[in-house]
Amino acid sequence: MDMNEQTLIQHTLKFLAECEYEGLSASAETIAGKLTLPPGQVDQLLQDLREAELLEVDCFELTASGREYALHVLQAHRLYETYLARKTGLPESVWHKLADEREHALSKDDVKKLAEELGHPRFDPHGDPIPTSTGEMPVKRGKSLVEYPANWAGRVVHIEDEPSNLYSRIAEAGITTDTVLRIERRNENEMHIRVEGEAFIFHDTVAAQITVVELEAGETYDDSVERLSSLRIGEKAEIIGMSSLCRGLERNRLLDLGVVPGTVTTAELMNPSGSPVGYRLRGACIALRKQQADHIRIRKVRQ
Amino acid sequence: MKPEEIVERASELRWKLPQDYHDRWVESIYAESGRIASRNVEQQGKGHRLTWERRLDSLLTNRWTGMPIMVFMLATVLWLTIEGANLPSGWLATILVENGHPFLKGLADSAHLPWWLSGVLIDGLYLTMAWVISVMLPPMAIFFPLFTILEDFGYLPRVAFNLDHLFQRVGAHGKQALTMSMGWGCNAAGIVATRVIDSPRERLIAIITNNFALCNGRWPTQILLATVFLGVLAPPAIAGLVSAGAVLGVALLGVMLTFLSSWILSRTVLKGETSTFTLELPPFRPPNLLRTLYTSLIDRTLIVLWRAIVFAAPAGVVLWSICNIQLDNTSLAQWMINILNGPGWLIGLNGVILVAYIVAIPANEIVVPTVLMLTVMTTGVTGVGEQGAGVMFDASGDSALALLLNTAGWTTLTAVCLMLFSLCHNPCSTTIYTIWKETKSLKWTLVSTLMPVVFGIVICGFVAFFWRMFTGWS
Repeated sequence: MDMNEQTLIQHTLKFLAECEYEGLSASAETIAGKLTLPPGQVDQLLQDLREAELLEVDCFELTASGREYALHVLQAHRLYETYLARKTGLPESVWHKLADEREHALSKDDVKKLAEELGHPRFDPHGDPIPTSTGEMPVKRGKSLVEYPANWAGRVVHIEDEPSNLYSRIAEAGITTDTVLRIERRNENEMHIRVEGEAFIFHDTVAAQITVVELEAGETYDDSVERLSSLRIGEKAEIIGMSSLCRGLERNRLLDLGVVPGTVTTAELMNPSGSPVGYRLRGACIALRKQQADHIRIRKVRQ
Repeated sequence: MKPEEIVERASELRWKLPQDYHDRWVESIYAESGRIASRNVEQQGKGHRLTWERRLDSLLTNRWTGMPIMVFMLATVLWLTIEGANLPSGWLATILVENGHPFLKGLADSAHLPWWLSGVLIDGLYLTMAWVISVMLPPMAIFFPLFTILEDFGYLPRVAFNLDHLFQRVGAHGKQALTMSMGWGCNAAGIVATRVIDSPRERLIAIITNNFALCNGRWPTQILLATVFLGVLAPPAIAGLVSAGAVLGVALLGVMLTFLSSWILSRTVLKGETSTFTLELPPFRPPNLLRTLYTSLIDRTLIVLWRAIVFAAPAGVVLWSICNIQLDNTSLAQWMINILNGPGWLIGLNGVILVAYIVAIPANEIVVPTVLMLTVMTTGVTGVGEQGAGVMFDASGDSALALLLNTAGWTTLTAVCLMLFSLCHNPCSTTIYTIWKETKSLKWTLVSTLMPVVFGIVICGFVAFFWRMFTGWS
């Protein structure tokens, strides 16, 4: 990686702040691994950080000013990812990289404006909390999915986006933050997961990327919730809501057309290739592509 | 509680809300307004589709019948346009060009106007305008109403529905099928029609690639060249078939280039634009013929025609001027032709054609007349078009035309490359202006203008190179 001094310092601070949040301990080796730097350069970097009083002298803890600086970079990174998700059509795979580049160029004022423009979001698209301008962050919640047994049901709160090959398996399954899922079966290295009427088999390395929490009191996994894409021609369903994968302009358009909880819809017309499908919505016939219909949760209505 | 405590408590609770709280909140507002509306709004008429509508829909979107019906409809519209436009085009040409032009010249002579003034105004400005009107007005006045009738009836959204999966693969919207077919009538109108695509990225793709739809200013060029140069290569019995096939081939190449460039654009310069998809399939309804005629004539035909005239008129002045302004005893046009002969040769064309394309940016309709006029001027052939330098004319017959162009050194390669270049060159200035009006972006206007020229130069260059490699360098 080719980076200048300031960029290196910001990446190091961000990494240390993340370790602090996750409750992990940092060392010169983990820093070298994260930034792919030779150990000699890391030592120099740590020395610089300590001279600038951003890092405590005798350990890997951030000083008060170091933490403030780190949280600013973290806020910039996560806000920018949220911006990319909501306001551009760039694919998910490039968000992280672009945010890593852009976070260094954003001043405090830019970050403030960006937060305002986005309506002060609390979480980025992967479920990571975005620090407020005063540096507030909630306590970390949830445990890895692999720690739970078969027949357990819970809610996704975070999905780790690195490495991207594991992440893309999860994204393709349409699992996102706030998805409610159930573990159907656990084999030696893999688990069978049920989400919105669909079944997926994840290797434990994939499942470990997903952080989940218990369902709230009185809430259970609802077997009748499915995806609009599973509706066959002539079948009727009531819309429950949209997944948070449907964002920005797309979400607004669908809301405008009447894709809101309680609307009853019928699948009317199918393209021979299977997509798009025409759905009757509030008296109009609207064609949606399969990927869009995947993001709409429904409950079938018996006729 | 003190105010500070309230603020602190609030920001603490803020993190406890579900992550999608905001989305759910918006959803429930929409749901509530939906409930209020359906409680208080009474709907009259049918709430569901009638049986015949359902039958018709399944016929039009069926795997086996959908495509043939679509091809048949399109062929009918194009045939009606081409056949139907011949007669009125002829009338207009007789009135405006054959009679109007000499009449005005006579008037100018009797008023003792200086030769250059009557040249600029009548040979340049008037004649170009007359040309554009007589070639452009009739086909547009037929094509657009037919198109609007299909649109009103509800057929066009079904076409978009049928073709969407093809367009989705290249990152475009099914409705681009409609703006593309509209482009076969006129690219400027096709670009205005992209307003039906509500997704920013797909709309830009449709705008930038619209020029690959052969517009009615270019169909005549294609037909003429295919008849004169390619039809004659085949035995007389199938000559018509060969030339028709060649024109169709160029049009299909345009469709392929539309897909190719859409694919490239959606993965490169446009990948950051937001994208969404919705397509309404309205109920079938009988088209309102009078309203259709009015809207398509006023909104589409006349507006586009007016813009074309505004742009073509100065082009006539420029054309007449470069032919009549001398520099070292050689006209400006001749200078330009000499300079451009070299680059023209590389892409299988010649200096005359390139000069014609530069001057004829305002309207594709005047490319062929300009090429003919410049050819006569440079070769000194007599017997055709002797009205003088800077005065456009149409060929009286195919054989006379072939003779003229052969004398000027045209070969089959020149014709093929010109057909390709006519498909892939910058949009006319009316279209460029429309792109600017629709996108309000210099960047996208430039991309739309330059991308087709680059395609054209590359394709013609390749064709010329390999053609000469196999048939010998000449």
